[in-house]
Amino acid sequence: MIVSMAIAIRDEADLASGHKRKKAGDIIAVMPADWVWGTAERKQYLIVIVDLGATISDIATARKLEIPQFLTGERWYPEHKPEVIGKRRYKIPLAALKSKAALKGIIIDLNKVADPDDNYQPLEKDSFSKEDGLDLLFDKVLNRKFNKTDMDEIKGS
Amino acid sequence: MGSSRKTATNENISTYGTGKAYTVLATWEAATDIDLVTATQSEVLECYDTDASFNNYVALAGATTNASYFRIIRPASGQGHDGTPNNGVTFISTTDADCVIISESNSQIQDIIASLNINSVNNRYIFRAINNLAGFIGCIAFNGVNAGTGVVTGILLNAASPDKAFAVNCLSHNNEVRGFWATATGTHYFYNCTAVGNAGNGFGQTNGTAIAKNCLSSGHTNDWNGTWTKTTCSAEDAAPTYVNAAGDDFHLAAGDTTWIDAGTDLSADADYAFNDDIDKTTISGTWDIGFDKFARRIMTISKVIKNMPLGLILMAGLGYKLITRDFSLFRGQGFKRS
Repeated sequence: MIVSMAIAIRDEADLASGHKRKKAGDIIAVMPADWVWGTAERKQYLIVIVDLGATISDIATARKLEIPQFLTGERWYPEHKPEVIGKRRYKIPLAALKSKAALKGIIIDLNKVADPDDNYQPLEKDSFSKEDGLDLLFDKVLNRKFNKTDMDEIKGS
Repeated sequence: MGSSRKTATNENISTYGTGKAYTVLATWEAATDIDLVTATQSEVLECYDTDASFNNYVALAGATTNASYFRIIRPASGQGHDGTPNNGVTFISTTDADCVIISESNSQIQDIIASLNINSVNNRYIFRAINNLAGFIGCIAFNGVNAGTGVVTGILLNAASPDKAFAVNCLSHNNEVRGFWATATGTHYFYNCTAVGNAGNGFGQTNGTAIAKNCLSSGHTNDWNGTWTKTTCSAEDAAPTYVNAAGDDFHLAAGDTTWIDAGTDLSADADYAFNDDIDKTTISGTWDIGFDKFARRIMTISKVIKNMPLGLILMAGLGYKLITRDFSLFRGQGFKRS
Protein backbone atom coordinates (compact mmCIF):
# COMPACT_ATOMS: atom_id res chain seq x y z
CA MET A 1 0.00 0.00 0.00
CA ILE A 2 1.26 3.44 -0.89
CA VAL A 3 0.72 6.00 1.85
CA SER A 4 1.29 9.68 2.48
CA MET A 5 3.09 10.45 5.73
CA ALA A 6 3.44 13.64 7.75
CA ILE A 7 6.97 13.69 9.16
CA ALA A 8 8.21 15.99 11.92
CA ILE A 9 10.82 18.39 10.58
CA ARG A 10 12.55 19.39 13.80
CA ASP A 11 13.20 18.28 17.35
CA GLU A 12 10.78 19.74 19.90
CA ALA A 13 12.07 20.06 23.46
CA ASP A 14 10.51 17.72 26.00
CA LEU A 15 8.39 19.36 28.70
CA ALA A 16 9.39 19.89 32.31
CA SER A 17 6.66 17.41 33.24
CA GLY A 18 8.62 14.71 31.43
CA HIS A 19 6.25 14.60 28.46
CA LYS A 20 8.11 13.61 25.32
CA ARG A 21 7.44 15.74 22.27
CA LYS A 22 8.04 14.92 18.63
CA LYS A 23 11.51 14.65 17.19
CA ALA A 24 12.77 15.25 13.65
CA GLY A 25 11.77 12.40 11.39
CA ASP A 26 8.97 11.06 13.64
CA ILE A 27 6.07 9.65 11.66
CA ILE A 28 3.21 11.74 13.02
CA ALA A 29 0.40 10.69 10.70
CA VAL A 30 -0.16 8.15 7.93
CA MET A 31 -2.94 8.57 5.39
CA PRO A 32 -3.77 7.28 1.88
CA ALA A 33 -1.39 8.28 -0.91
CA ASP A 34 -3.76 10.80 -2.44
CA TRP A 35 -4.46 12.58 0.86
CA VAL A 36 -4.88 16.34 0.61
CA TRP A 37 -3.16 17.71 3.70
CA GLY A 38 -4.31 20.86 5.43
CA THR A 39 -2.67 24.25 5.16
CA ALA A 40 -1.12 24.09 8.65
CA GLU A 41 0.00 20.49 8.16
CA ARG A 42 1.88 21.46 5.01
CA LYS A 43 3.86 24.07 6.96
CA GLN A 44 4.56 21.93 10.03
CA TYR A 45 5.43 18.59 8.48
CA LEU A 46 7.33 17.13 5.56
CA ILE A 47 4.98 15.10 3.38
CA VAL A 48 6.56 11.85 2.20
CA ILE A 49 4.90 9.25 -0.03
CA VAL A 50 6.12 5.71 0.57
CA ASP A 51 5.14 2.25 -0.65
CA LEU A 52 4.79 0.05 2.43
CA GLY A 53 4.49 -3.10 0.31
CA ALA A 54 1.69 -5.62 -0.06
CA THR A 55 1.64 -6.77 3.57
CA ILE A 56 0.03 -3.52 4.64
CA SER A 57 -3.17 -3.38 2.63
CA ASP A 58 -5.45 -0.99 4.52
CA ILE A 59 -5.07 2.42 6.10
CA ALA A 60 -6.10 1.25 9.58
CA THR A 61 -3.08 -1.08 9.59
CA ALA A 62 -0.80 1.52 8.02
CA ARG A 63 -1.69 3.92 10.83
CA LYS A 64 0.01 1.57 13.27
CA LEU A 65 3.15 3.42 12.21
CA GLU A 66 1.78 6.30 14.36
CA ILE A 67 2.23 4.38 17.62
CA PRO A 68 4.03 6.14 20.49
CA GLN A 69 7.22 4.68 21.86
CA PHE A 70 6.12 2.74 24.94
CA LEU A 71 8.47 1.80 27.76
CA THR A 72 7.39 -1.79 27.34
CA GLY A 73 7.91 -1.75 23.55
CA GLU A 74 4.45 -2.69 22.29
CA ARG A 75 3.89 -2.58 18.55
CA TRP A 76 0.38 -1.22 19.06
CA TYR A 77 -1.86 0.18 21.78
CA PRO A 78 -2.48 -2.41 24.46
CA GLU A 79 -5.76 -2.12 26.31
CA HIS A 80 -4.12 -0.42 29.26
CA LYS A 81 -1.81 2.29 28.05
CA PRO A 82 1.77 1.84 29.27
CA GLU A 83 4.25 4.61 30.01
CA VAL A 84 5.18 6.64 26.93
CA ILE A 85 8.88 7.37 26.49
CA GLY A 86 8.68 8.88 23.03
CA LYS A 87 6.05 10.68 20.96
CA ARG A 88 6.49 8.11 18.20
CA ARG A 89 8.14 4.71 17.89
CA TYR A 90 8.85 4.91 14.18
CA LYS A 91 10.67 7.56 12.20
CA ILE A 92 12.29 8.28 8.87
CA PRO A 93 15.73 9.76 9.64
CA LEU A 94 15.91 13.02 7.73
CA ALA A 95 19.55 12.50 6.71
CA ALA A 96 18.66 9.18 5.09
CA LEU A 97 15.62 10.76 3.47
CA LYS A 98 17.71 13.58 2.02
CA SER A 99 20.15 11.05 0.59
CA LYS A 100 17.38 9.03 -1.04
CA ALA A 101 15.79 12.19 -2.37
CA ALA A 102 19.10 13.38 -3.80
CA LEU A 103 19.27 10.18 -5.86
CA LYS A 104 16.02 11.33 -7.45
CA GLY A 105 17.49 14.77 -8.01
CA ILE A 106 15.38 16.33 -5.25
CA ILE A 107 16.90 18.71 -2.72
CA ILE A 108 14.99 18.96 0.58
CA ASP A 109 15.07 22.39 2.22
CA LEU A 110 13.32 22.11 5.60
CA ASN A 111 13.42 25.89 6.10
CA LYS A 112 11.28 26.28 2.99
CA VAL A 113 8.80 23.69 4.29
CA ALA A 114 8.25 25.86 7.38
CA ASP A 115 8.17 29.14 5.44
CA PRO A 116 4.56 30.38 5.63
CA ASP A 117 4.99 32.26 2.38
CA ASP A 118 6.26 29.28 0.40
CA ASN A 119 3.95 26.44 -0.66
CA TYR A 120 6.84 24.02 -0.75
CA GLN A 121 6.62 20.25 -0.35
CA PRO A 122 9.48 18.70 -2.34
CA LEU A 123 8.42 15.06 -2.06
CA GLU A 124 4.66 15.15 -2.48
CA LYS A 125 4.71 14.38 -6.21
CA ASP A 126 7.10 11.45 -5.99
CA SER A 127 6.95 8.20 -4.10
CA PHE A 128 9.58 5.96 -2.63
CA SER A 129 9.50 2.29 -3.60
CA LYS A 130 8.89 -0.44 -1.04
CA GLU A 131 12.61 -1.21 -1.10
CA ASP A 132 13.36 2.43 -0.34
CA GLY A 133 10.61 2.38 2.27
CA LEU A 134 12.18 -0.52 4.14
CA ASP A 135 15.53 1.23 3.95
CA LEU A 136 14.07 4.50 5.26
CA LEU A 137 11.82 3.33 8.10
CA PHE A 138 13.52 3.17 11.49
CA ASP A 139 12.32 1.50 14.69
CA LYS A 140 13.48 3.38 17.80
CA VAL A 141 12.63 0.50 20.13
CA LEU A 142 14.75 -2.01 18.21
CA ASN A 143 17.19 0.74 17.22
CA ARG A 144 17.44 -0.42 13.64
CA LYS A 145 16.05 -0.04 10.17
CA PHE A 146 13.03 -2.10 9.17
CA ASN A 147 13.46 -5.55 7.74
CA LYS A 148 10.97 -7.68 5.83
CA THR A 149 9.41 -9.23 8.91
CA ASP A 150 8.57 -5.90 10.56
CA MET A 151 5.57 -5.27 8.32
CA ASP A 152 4.19 -8.69 9.22
CA GLU A 153 4.64 -7.96 12.91
CA ILE A 154 2.99 -4.56 12.59
CA LYS A 155 0.08 -6.10 10.71
CA GLY A 156 -0.34 -8.77 13.35
CA SER A 157 0.00 -6.45 16.32
CA MET B 1 -22.24 28.89 36.81
CA GLY B 2 -22.74 28.92 33.07
CA SER B 3 -22.42 26.64 30.11
CA SER B 4 -21.27 23.07 30.61
CA ARG B 5 -18.85 23.73 27.75
CA LYS B 6 -15.81 25.33 29.29
CA THR B 7 -14.01 28.04 27.41
CA ALA B 8 -10.29 28.41 27.95
CA THR B 9 -8.20 31.51 28.42
CA ASN B 10 -6.47 32.96 25.37
CA GLU B 11 -7.74 30.36 22.94
CA ASN B 12 -5.60 29.79 19.85
CA ILE B 13 -8.13 28.35 17.43
CA SER B 14 -7.19 26.03 14.57
CA THR B 15 -9.58 24.50 12.07
CA TYR B 16 -10.18 20.85 11.14
CA GLY B 17 -11.89 19.30 8.15
CA THR B 18 -11.45 18.86 4.43
CA GLY B 19 -9.77 21.99 3.09
CA LYS B 20 -9.00 23.34 6.57
CA ALA B 21 -5.73 23.84 8.45
CA TYR B 22 -5.72 20.30 9.79
CA THR B 23 -7.10 17.13 8.22
CA VAL B 24 -5.75 14.60 10.73
CA LEU B 25 -6.32 14.91 14.47
CA ALA B 26 -2.87 13.51 15.26
CA THR B 27 -1.08 16.32 13.42
CA TRP B 28 -2.87 18.99 15.47
CA GLU B 29 -2.29 17.00 18.66
CA ALA B 30 1.44 16.71 18.02
CA ALA B 31 1.67 20.41 17.19
CA THR B 32 -0.05 21.57 20.38
CA ASP B 33 1.20 19.25 23.15
CA ILE B 34 3.13 22.11 24.71
CA ASP B 35 3.39 23.74 28.13
CA LEU B 36 0.22 25.78 27.79
CA VAL B 37 0.57 27.27 31.28
CA THR B 38 3.98 28.78 30.57
CA ALA B 39 2.80 29.89 27.16
CA THR B 40 -0.35 31.39 28.78
CA GLN B 41 -2.26 29.99 25.84
CA SER B 42 -4.97 27.42 25.19
CA GLU B 43 -5.25 25.34 22.04
CA VAL B 44 -8.63 24.74 20.44
CA LEU B 45 -9.43 22.64 17.38
CA GLU B 46 -12.70 23.73 15.80
CA CYS B 47 -14.06 21.05 13.51
CA TYR B 48 -16.12 21.61 10.38
CA ASP B 49 -18.80 19.22 9.24
CA THR B 50 -17.28 18.99 5.76
CA ASP B 51 -17.62 15.20 5.48
CA ALA B 52 -20.37 12.77 6.43
CA SER B 53 -17.84 11.35 8.86
CA PHE B 54 -14.12 11.34 9.42
CA ASN B 55 -12.17 8.08 9.83
CA ASN B 56 -9.90 9.39 12.55
CA TYR B 57 -8.85 8.94 16.15
CA VAL B 58 -6.79 10.93 18.64
CA ALA B 59 -5.03 10.64 21.97
CA LEU B 60 -4.68 14.01 23.69
CA ALA B 61 -1.59 13.36 25.76
CA GLY B 62 0.92 15.31 27.72
CA ALA B 63 0.24 19.03 27.29
CA THR B 64 0.89 20.95 30.50
CA THR B 65 -2.45 22.47 31.52
CA ASN B 66 -4.32 24.11 34.37
CA ALA B 67 -7.89 25.30 34.90
CA SER B 68 -7.31 28.30 32.60
CA TYR B 69 -5.04 26.92 29.89
CA PHE B 70 -5.96 23.60 28.31
CA ARG B 71 -6.95 21.99 25.03
CA ILE B 72 -10.44 21.66 23.53
CA ILE B 73 -11.78 19.87 20.48
CA ARG B 74 -15.21 21.16 19.49
CA PRO B 75 -17.29 21.89 16.39
CA ALA B 76 -16.99 25.32 14.84
CA SER B 77 -19.97 27.59 15.28
CA GLY B 78 -22.99 26.17 13.47
CA GLN B 79 -21.30 22.83 12.80
CA GLY B 80 -22.44 20.93 15.89
CA HIS B 81 -25.00 18.15 16.24
CA ASP B 82 -28.71 18.49 16.94
CA GLY B 83 -28.73 16.19 19.96
CA THR B 84 -28.83 13.12 17.72
CA PRO B 85 -26.06 11.16 15.98
CA ASN B 86 -27.59 12.08 12.64
CA ASN B 87 -26.01 15.50 12.08
CA GLY B 88 -22.79 17.19 13.08
CA VAL B 89 -19.07 16.56 13.28
CA THR B 90 -18.68 12.78 13.36
CA PHE B 91 -15.64 10.56 13.78
CA ILE B 92 -16.06 6.89 12.88
CA SER B 93 -12.73 5.21 13.39
CA THR B 94 -11.76 1.84 11.94
CA THR B 95 -8.41 1.92 13.70
CA ASP B 96 -7.96 -0.51 16.58
CA ALA B 97 -7.57 2.17 19.24
CA ASP B 98 -9.80 4.26 21.47
CA CYS B 99 -11.42 6.84 19.20
CA VAL B 100 -10.93 9.85 21.50
CA ILE B 101 -8.81 9.55 24.61
CA ILE B 102 -7.82 12.35 26.98
CA SER B 103 -4.57 11.64 28.83
CA GLU B 104 -3.97 15.12 30.19
CA SER B 105 -5.70 17.16 32.88
CA ASN B 106 -8.39 19.78 32.31
CA SER B 107 -8.85 19.24 28.58
CA GLN B 108 -12.30 18.74 27.08
CA ILE B 109 -14.01 17.23 24.06
CA GLN B 110 -17.24 19.09 23.34
CA ASP B 111 -20.22 18.23 21.15
CA ILE B 112 -18.46 15.60 19.06
CA ILE B 113 -20.16 12.47 17.69
CA ALA B 114 -17.98 9.38 17.52
CA SER B 115 -18.05 5.66 16.89
CA LEU B 116 -15.71 2.68 16.49
CA ASN B 117 -15.99 -0.05 13.88
CA ILE B 118 -13.08 -2.41 14.48
CA ASN B 119 -11.99 -6.04 14.54
CA SER B 120 -9.79 -6.52 17.57
CA VAL B 121 -8.98 -8.79 20.47
CA ASN B 122 -8.82 -5.65 22.64
CA ASN B 123 -11.60 -3.87 24.48
CA ARG B 124 -11.83 -0.31 23.17
CA TYR B 125 -13.68 2.86 24.06
CA ILE B 126 -15.24 5.50 21.86
CA PHE B 127 -14.50 8.20 24.45
CA ARG B 128 -12.08 7.65 27.34
CA ALA B 129 -10.89 10.17 29.93
CA ILE B 130 -7.97 9.24 32.16
CA ASN B 131 -6.65 12.41 33.75
CA ASN B 132 -7.86 14.86 36.37
CA LEU B 133 -10.77 17.15 35.42
CA ALA B 134 -10.81 15.87 31.85
CA GLY B 135 -14.27 15.79 30.40
CA PHE B 136 -16.63 14.93 27.59
CA ILE B 137 -19.37 17.50 27.26
CA GLY B 138 -22.33 17.18 24.89
CA CYS B 139 -20.73 14.19 23.17
CA ILE B 140 -22.51 11.30 21.48
CA ALA B 141 -21.07 7.76 21.37
CA PHE B 142 -23.06 5.48 19.10
CA ASN B 143 -23.07 2.18 17.20
CA GLY B 144 -19.71 1.01 18.54
CA VAL B 145 -18.90 -2.48 17.29
CA ASN B 146 -15.92 -4.80 17.53
CA ALA B 147 -16.08 -7.80 15.20
CA GLY B 148 -13.25 -9.45 17.11
CA THR B 149 -13.24 -10.93 20.58
CA GLY B 150 -12.93 -7.53 22.24
CA VAL B 151 -15.85 -5.21 22.87
CA VAL B 152 -16.63 -1.50 22.50
CA THR B 153 -17.91 0.72 25.32
CA GLY B 154 -19.35 4.16 24.65
CA ILE B 155 -17.85 6.49 27.26
CA LEU B 156 -15.30 5.41 29.86
CA LEU B 157 -14.22 7.57 32.79
CA ASN B 158 -10.98 6.04 33.95
CA ALA B 159 -9.29 8.41 36.41
CA ALA B 160 -7.06 7.22 39.24
CA SER B 161 -7.57 8.55 42.77
CA PRO B 162 -7.55 11.38 43.72
CA ASP B 163 -8.38 12.51 40.18
CA LYS B 164 -11.87 13.29 38.88
CA ALA B 165 -13.32 12.96 35.38
CA PHE B 166 -16.60 14.16 33.90
CA ALA B 167 -19.23 13.24 31.34
CA VAL B 168 -21.92 15.91 31.06
CA ASN B 169 -24.88 16.15 28.68
CA CYS B 170 -23.74 13.08 26.78
CA LEU B 171 -25.61 10.33 24.93
CA SER B 172 -24.41 6.76 24.55
CA HIS B 173 -26.53 4.63 22.25
CA ASN B 174 -26.38 1.19 20.66
CA ASN B 175 -22.88 0.31 21.74
CA GLU B 176 -21.67 -3.22 22.11
CA VAL B 177 -21.38 -3.62 25.84
CA ARG B 178 -21.84 -0.53 28.01
CA GLY B 179 -23.11 2.96 27.44
CA PHE B 180 -21.11 4.58 30.25
CA TRP B 181 -18.51 2.94 32.44
CA ALA B 182 -16.69 4.09 35.54
CA THR B 183 -13.56 2.25 36.50
CA ALA B 184 -10.16 3.01 38.04
CA THR B 185 -9.90 4.35 41.57
CA GLY B 186 -10.85 7.99 40.98
CA THR B 187 -14.17 9.81 41.19
CA HIS B 188 -16.27 9.74 38.05
CA TYR B 189 -19.11 12.19 37.50
CA PHE B 190 -21.93 11.56 35.06
CA TYR B 191 -24.31 14.52 34.91
CA ASN B 192 -27.38 14.80 32.67
CA CYS B 193 -26.36 11.80 30.58
CA THR B 194 -28.62 9.45 28.65
CA ALA B 195 -27.89 5.80 27.85
CA VAL B 196 -30.23 4.02 25.46
CA GLY B 197 -30.15 0.56 23.96
CA ASN B 198 -26.58 -0.46 24.63
CA ALA B 199 -26.10 -4.21 24.55
CA GLY B 200 -25.05 -4.71 28.18
CA ASN B 201 -25.27 -2.03 30.83
CA GLY B 202 -26.46 1.53 30.45
CA PHE B 203 -24.27 2.74 33.28
CA GLY B 204 -21.67 0.34 34.67
CA GLN B 205 -19.22 0.69 37.54
CA THR B 206 -16.49 -1.72 38.53
CA ASN B 207 -14.05 0.42 40.48
CA GLY B 208 -13.69 3.82 42.08
CA THR B 209 -16.52 6.21 42.88
CA ALA B 210 -19.34 6.68 40.39
CA ILE B 211 -21.68 9.64 40.82
CA ALA B 212 -24.70 10.11 38.58
CA LYS B 213 -27.05 13.07 38.66
CA ASN B 214 -30.07 13.51 36.38
CA CYS B 215 -29.05 10.48 34.32
CA LEU B 216 -31.46 8.43 32.26
CA SER B 217 -30.93 4.80 31.27
CA SER B 218 -33.31 2.63 29.29
CA GLY B 219 -33.35 -0.44 27.10
CA HIS B 220 -30.45 -2.43 28.58
CA THR B 221 -29.91 -5.81 30.17
CA ASN B 222 -29.04 -3.77 33.26
CA ASP B 223 -29.76 -0.06 33.13
CA TRP B 224 -27.53 0.29 36.17
CA ASN B 225 -24.72 -2.04 37.20
CA GLY B 226 -22.28 -1.74 40.06
CA THR B 227 -22.25 0.78 42.88
CA TRP B 228 -23.59 4.23 42.07
CA THR B 229 -24.39 7.33 44.07
CA LYS B 230 -27.45 8.54 42.20
CA THR B 231 -29.35 11.79 42.45
CA THR B 232 -32.66 12.00 40.58
CA CYS B 233 -31.76 9.33 38.04
CA SER B 234 -34.07 6.89 36.34
CA ALA B 235 -34.68 3.58 38.08
CA GLU B 236 -34.06 0.14 36.59
CA ASP B 237 -36.29 -0.63 33.60
CA ALA B 238 -37.27 2.95 32.98
CA ALA B 239 -39.49 3.49 29.95
CA PRO B 240 -39.25 7.10 28.83
CA THR B 241 -41.11 8.46 25.88
CA TYR B 242 -38.66 9.76 23.30
CA VAL B 243 -39.34 12.02 20.33
CA ASN B 244 -38.28 9.42 17.75
CA ALA B 245 -36.36 6.46 19.14
CA ALA B 246 -36.35 4.68 15.79
CA GLY B 247 -34.64 7.72 14.31
CA ASP B 248 -32.12 7.95 17.18
CA ASP B 249 -33.75 11.09 18.57
CA PHE B 250 -33.80 10.59 22.33
CA HIS B 251 -35.04 14.00 23.33
CA LEU B 252 -37.93 13.66 25.74
CA ALA B 253 -41.33 13.73 24.06
CA ALA B 254 -44.05 16.13 25.09
CA GLY B 255 -46.08 13.23 26.41
CA ASP B 256 -43.43 12.20 28.90
CA THR B 257 -44.83 12.46 32.37
CA THR B 258 -42.05 10.92 34.42
CA TRP B 259 -38.71 12.48 33.50
CA ILE B 260 -39.67 16.02 32.59
CA ASP B 261 -39.34 18.33 35.62
CA ALA B 262 -37.96 15.47 37.74
CA GLY B 263 -34.29 16.46 37.85
CA THR B 264 -32.05 18.33 40.24
CA ASP B 265 -30.81 21.85 39.61
CA LEU B 266 -27.05 21.53 39.04
CA SER B 267 -26.43 25.21 38.38
CA ALA B 268 -24.68 25.50 41.73
CA ASP B 269 -23.25 21.99 41.89
CA ALA B 270 -20.07 21.86 43.95
CA ASP B 271 -18.19 19.68 41.47
CA TYR B 272 -19.47 20.77 38.05
CA ALA B 273 -21.92 23.63 37.93
CA PHE B 274 -23.67 24.36 34.64
CA ASN B 275 -27.04 25.41 33.27
CA ASP B 276 -27.45 24.11 29.72
CA ASP B 277 -28.34 20.85 28.00
CA ILE B 278 -27.03 18.81 25.06
CA ASP B 279 -28.61 21.31 22.64
CA LYS B 280 -26.91 24.22 24.45
CA THR B 281 -30.34 25.35 25.58
CA THR B 282 -30.11 27.31 28.81
CA ILE B 283 -32.11 25.50 31.45
CA SER B 284 -34.65 27.57 33.31
CA GLY B 285 -37.19 26.33 35.78
CA THR B 286 -37.23 22.75 36.98
CA TRP B 287 -34.61 20.44 35.50
CA ASP B 288 -35.36 17.22 33.62
CA ILE B 289 -33.69 13.81 33.76
CA GLY B 290 -31.37 12.98 30.86
CA PHE B 291 -29.40 15.07 28.39
CA ASP B 292 -32.32 17.16 27.23
CA LYS B 293 -34.29 19.95 28.84
CA PHE B 294 -37.69 19.58 27.29
CA ALA B 295 -38.69 22.88 25.71
CA ARG B 296 -42.36 23.60 25.94
CA ARG B 297 -43.67 25.56 23.03
CA ILE B 298 -45.20 28.54 24.78
CA MET B 299 -46.80 31.04 22.39
CA THR B 300 -47.44 34.55 23.51
CA ILE B 301 -50.75 36.24 22.67
CA SER B 302 -48.94 38.34 20.08
CA LYS B 303 -47.48 35.22 18.42
CA VAL B 304 -50.91 33.60 18.37
CA ILE B 305 -52.39 36.64 16.68
CA LYS B 306 -49.54 36.81 14.15
CA ASN B 307 -50.21 33.21 13.18
CA MET B 308 -53.94 33.69 12.74
CA PRO B 309 -55.57 34.25 9.35
CA LEU B 310 -56.69 37.86 8.86
CA GLY B 311 -60.39 36.90 8.79
CA LEU B 312 -60.03 35.16 12.12
CA ILE B 313 -58.31 38.22 13.58
CA LEU B 314 -61.18 40.47 12.43
CA MET B 315 -63.75 38.05 13.82
CA ALA B 316 -61.87 37.87 17.12
CA GLY B 317 -61.66 41.65 17.18
CA LEU B 318 -65.39 41.97 16.48
CA GLY B 319 -66.15 39.49 19.23
CA TYR B 320 -63.98 41.47 21.64
CA LYS B 321 -65.73 44.68 20.67
CA LEU B 322 -69.15 43.16 21.13
CA ILE B 323 -68.23 41.74 24.49
CA THR B 324 -66.64 44.93 25.76
CA ARG B 325 -69.05 47.21 23.87
CA ASP B 326 -66.01 49.11 22.61
CA PHE B 327 -66.67 50.12 19.02
CA SER B 328 -63.61 52.34 18.59
CA LEU B 329 -62.35 49.95 15.92
CA PHE B 330 -65.27 50.89 13.74
CA ARG B 331 -64.72 54.55 14.41
CA GLY B 332 -61.36 54.42 12.61
CA GLN B 333 -59.08 54.16 15.60
CA GLY B 334 -58.03 50.58 14.75
CA PHE B 335 -56.02 48.27 16.94
CA LYS B 336 -52.41 47.37 17.22
CA ARG B 337 -50.91 43.94 16.90
CA SER B 338 -48.00 43.51 19.24
